[in-house]
Amino acid sequence: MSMTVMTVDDSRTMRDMVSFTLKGAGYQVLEAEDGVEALSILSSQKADIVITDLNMPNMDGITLIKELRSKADYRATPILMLTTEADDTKKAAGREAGATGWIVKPFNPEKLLAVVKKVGGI
Amino acid sequence: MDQFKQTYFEECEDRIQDAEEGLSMMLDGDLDKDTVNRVFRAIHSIKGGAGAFAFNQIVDFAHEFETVLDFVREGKLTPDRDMCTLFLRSNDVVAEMLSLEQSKKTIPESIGANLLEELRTITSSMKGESAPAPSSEASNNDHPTSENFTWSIVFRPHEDMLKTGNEPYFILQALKELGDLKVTTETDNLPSLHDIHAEHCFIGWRLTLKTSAPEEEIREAFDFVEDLCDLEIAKQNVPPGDLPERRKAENRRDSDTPQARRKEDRDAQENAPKASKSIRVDLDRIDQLVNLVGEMVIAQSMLQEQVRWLPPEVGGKIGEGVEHLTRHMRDLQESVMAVRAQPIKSVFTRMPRIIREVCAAVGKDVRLTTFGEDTEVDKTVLENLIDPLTHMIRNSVDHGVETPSERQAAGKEPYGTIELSARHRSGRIIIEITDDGKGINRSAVLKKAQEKNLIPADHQLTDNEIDNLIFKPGFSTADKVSEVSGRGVGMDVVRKNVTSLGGRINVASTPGKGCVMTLSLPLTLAVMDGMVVSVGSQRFVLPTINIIESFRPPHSAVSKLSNGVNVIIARGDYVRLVPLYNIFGIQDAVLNPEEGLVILLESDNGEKLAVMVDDVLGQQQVVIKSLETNYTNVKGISAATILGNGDVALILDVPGLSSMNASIDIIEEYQNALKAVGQIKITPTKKGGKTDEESAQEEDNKEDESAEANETNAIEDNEDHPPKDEDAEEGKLTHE
Repeated sequence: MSMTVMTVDDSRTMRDMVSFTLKGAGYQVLEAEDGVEALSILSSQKADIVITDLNMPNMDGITLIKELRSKADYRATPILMLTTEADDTKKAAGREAGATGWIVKPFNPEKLLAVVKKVGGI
Repeated sequence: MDQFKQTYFEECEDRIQDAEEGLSMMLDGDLDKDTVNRVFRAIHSIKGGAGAFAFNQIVDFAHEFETVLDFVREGKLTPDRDMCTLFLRSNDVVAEMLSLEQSKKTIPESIGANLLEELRTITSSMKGESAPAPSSEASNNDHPTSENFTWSIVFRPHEDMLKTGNEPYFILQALKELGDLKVTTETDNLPSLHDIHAEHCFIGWRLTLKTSAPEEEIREAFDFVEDLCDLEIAKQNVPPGDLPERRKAENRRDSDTPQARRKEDRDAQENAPKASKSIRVDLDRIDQLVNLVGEMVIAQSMLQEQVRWLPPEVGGKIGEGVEHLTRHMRDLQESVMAVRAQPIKSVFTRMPRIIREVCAAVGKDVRLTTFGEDTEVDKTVLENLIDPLTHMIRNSVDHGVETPSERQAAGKEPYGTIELSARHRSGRIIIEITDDGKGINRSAVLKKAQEKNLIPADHQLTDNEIDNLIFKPGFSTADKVSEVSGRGVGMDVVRKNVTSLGGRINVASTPGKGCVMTLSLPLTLAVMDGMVVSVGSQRFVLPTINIIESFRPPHSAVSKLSNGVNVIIARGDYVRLVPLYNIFGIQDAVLNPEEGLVILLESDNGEKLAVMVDDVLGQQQVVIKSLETNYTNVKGISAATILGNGDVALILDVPGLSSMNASIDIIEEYQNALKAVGQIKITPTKKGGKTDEESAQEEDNKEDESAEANETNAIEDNEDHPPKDEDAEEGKLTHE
């Protein structure tokens, strides 16, 4: 059974790229525009991995991570955050919230797959 | 990669607008966190995508821009008006770079060079105070690599590592991919079963890895857990030789892969669930849908027409079915049109930039306020609205609003105000541009119009008519052609554009106080509700929204004024009565108003008008077929349509009619138009669909038409002394 990855990003381009790359590698992909939408989708569908942007309207990535970690289903789900540059304060905030790891933008597809594989294990 | 680029550019358009809106609010002093954040996010997102496509100039510029915005966001920097203007210009530069990239042109170095400098200056002055210095992923690559070193690794996760979703097993798996891995598990810290906590990690590992990979790659496996574990990585033996940088080079290849893979990926993509709430659809597909619905409306009205002739025992049931069909067709059509409808916001948000440009060029200060941005209108209308609206706005700033010193002399605020508003009114969208400038100089306009022979010298005009002279071809109010709104095209082009959309334009000026320009446009260009009427053997369609009532006038209601204009008393008012047979030269029509019907109409500007027809045949939805694409614009006619029985009917243009007098030119044009449209009767085939009587009647029509075309004299005659029989003579009784 293939894994389901949710990509949360307010940029359609980013969502498309993530989604395209992952689908190409055989993952199922769910898309959400912001934290609020992500939570609402995840309440009815299960994702094995979540990749979220940090800066988004309505609900940002950090809050989303905290929200997810507070849910029994997502306590140990790998959650990756997308950051630009190696922003240490952002990384620390994400880590604090319970993020598994991070992907630095811009990323190439190979790198994305490698990271997803690393945290997802397949 | 191209398919993403398209999405990217589309998205960037929205982003640029977002940023622009936010920046405009900042310019007005709104430094709210949300506002600043919105701008930051927009630029940030543009940069992110640009990086993925290697649009390096955009990345560089957006980066500098974003850095400065970040200072604002963090409250370290409070931008004044000048700086906000700098931001707005920077946003314009990003927009320009994007559009160059999109058209696959190279971005000249010069674009935004000055702005980039200014942004950098701000950044460096800020850095003096605080240096966040974004660290890059610099890799210290001085470890020489060679084949098969053996590494000893000690990996002891902290208790809470699992809480972050990191799975040690996967990390070991990643290491295994690098080479030959031997794992020894340390269970020293494992507590008694009683004390074990399922979500804590109590075990550690000793690893021996034989690999050619450099240390950095080994460390990369622990990237996310460095701070969540104790980690020791040490090399066991001494390197026998070097193999530098090879893996690096391999990594470079990655960016090419998606293209190669795209094909196979299609299937996977299609099977995946889609969670997004909206999709982007190619406009052509929607248009195809709209056309199909249009054709179905015609087919349905044909069906409706045929059912009428069936005997009741058969027709009853079918009629019911057709009734249902009609209702659903209407719903379907409304839904399809709703897909094409878009808020006018996307046009309105272009205007601030235009105003800024013009203001900068002519040294004026103008503030813009907008209302009704969410008013929706068909996409085609929307797109065709951009040019006329831009031109009108330019014109308002250039010619309407005075310079700050002039304004102060006139006792006004130094800055001008332009108000842009949109609203729906009786099936149309009304857009108003109101400025508080000097208004139209009527005597100058009148003088110029007379000089240019646009109007007869002795012609008496109302104030409103004088104002609207600015839309006459060949008229230009500026003394000299100006940089901004000149360039040889004038307001007449605006009017032409608007008219071709089935719209109307009007200007009302109050000298010294300003102007109101009003645009009225149909919400859709595809379908409308119409009342089918007959005049002789001809069919016309009147837009239902214009109809107030229809009635058979009493003898005393109709009068003829001394200038030959017929008027009728309707609802207590004298209203101009236009006999359609007269205007369009139809000979077999009812000539006596008391025998026919009078339909009272109201045009969008509230003006009332009555037309005389033989009979009302029914109300139906009609599919609009542009007359212009098939023939040419005819006064009093807005478009053509195909009726249920396959006949062509012309759709009347109510405001156009009100200013019409019968003339030979119009009759000829009308006859030609009818013929031109008749030739494009595309959809319904009339085979077997008609009674003999109707076909015979049609033959008659043809004869009539050619007779009319040849006998224009007779028609003119007819016009002066229309009634030929006694009854009609009475019907046209003249009251003084």
